[in-house]
Amino acid sequence: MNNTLIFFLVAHIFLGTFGIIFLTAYLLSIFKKENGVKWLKINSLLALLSFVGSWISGGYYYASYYGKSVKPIILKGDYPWVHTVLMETKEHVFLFLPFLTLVIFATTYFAHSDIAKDKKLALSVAGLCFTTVSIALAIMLSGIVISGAVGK
Amino acid sequence: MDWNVFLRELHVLGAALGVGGSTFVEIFTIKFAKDKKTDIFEHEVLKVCINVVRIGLIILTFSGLGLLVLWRMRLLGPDVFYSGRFLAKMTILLILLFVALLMNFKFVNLRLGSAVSTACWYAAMILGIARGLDLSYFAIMAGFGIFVVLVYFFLEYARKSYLRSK
Repeated sequence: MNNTLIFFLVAHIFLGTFGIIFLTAYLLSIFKKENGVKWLKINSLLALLSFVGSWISGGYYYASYYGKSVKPIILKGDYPWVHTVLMETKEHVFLFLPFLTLVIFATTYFAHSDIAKDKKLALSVAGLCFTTVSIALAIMLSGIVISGAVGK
Repeated sequence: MDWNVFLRELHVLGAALGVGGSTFVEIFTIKFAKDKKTDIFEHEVLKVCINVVRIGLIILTFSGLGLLVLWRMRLLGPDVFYSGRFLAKMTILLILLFVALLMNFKFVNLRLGSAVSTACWYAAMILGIARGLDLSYFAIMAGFGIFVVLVYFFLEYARKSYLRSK
């Protein structure tokens, strides 16, 4: 693996994790009155940028290295289901994350006054945020399991 | 200093902040419980401790991910990634995160959530130190379950003993 690929792999992992952290911070602050909408807007924007960045860097790594060099090793190894089940699921479910985060970001930007007043809407956004964090965590764990299937 | 040493040191620092912060959250919670209300100063002290725990968790997560990248590049594979100790550490980290969210929304009793959170930090530290531990995932998680119960009852005992002594 050359330095460019290492950079994209690290960027993919770290940006994805930052996305989870920003969405968790969003979730923790959605019902707090003292912080207002400012941090909700910042966290949703940073989460969106992180997931988009992770999407692009992961896509580059997958297209230029994983398919040619990693996938055959996993399929020949003791754990082929790691690719056929986990990676196949990950690469499809992962597509949802930027769009789910975009919905959270757009709702926060265009309906922030409603979020502050309407508890039902705030609960719905919190539910969407929790779902997105859960999916992102599941994808992150899948990534760790996939990395573990590549041995000597 | 190579990346491995740097990331390991960061990982230890994150664990130290998390374990230390959660310990002091418990100590101060017990100490501040004597008048059954939290004033502004007490609230600020607890907030600082919780922020230390959060910083510890972030350092621990990123240094851990850095170590995973190194292991991946060295092709350490299933022996490390699928070991009971590693999978148990990942599970405990997830429990820690979900308990923090549940406590924030008051879906879980604060004393119980706090005990689980403290137990998670100590368990992660013990698993980090016990490098030679060769137990299955289920054996480690069963031990963790017993450990959580012990920590809960220990904290309840400490709380009652302190309140009786005042």
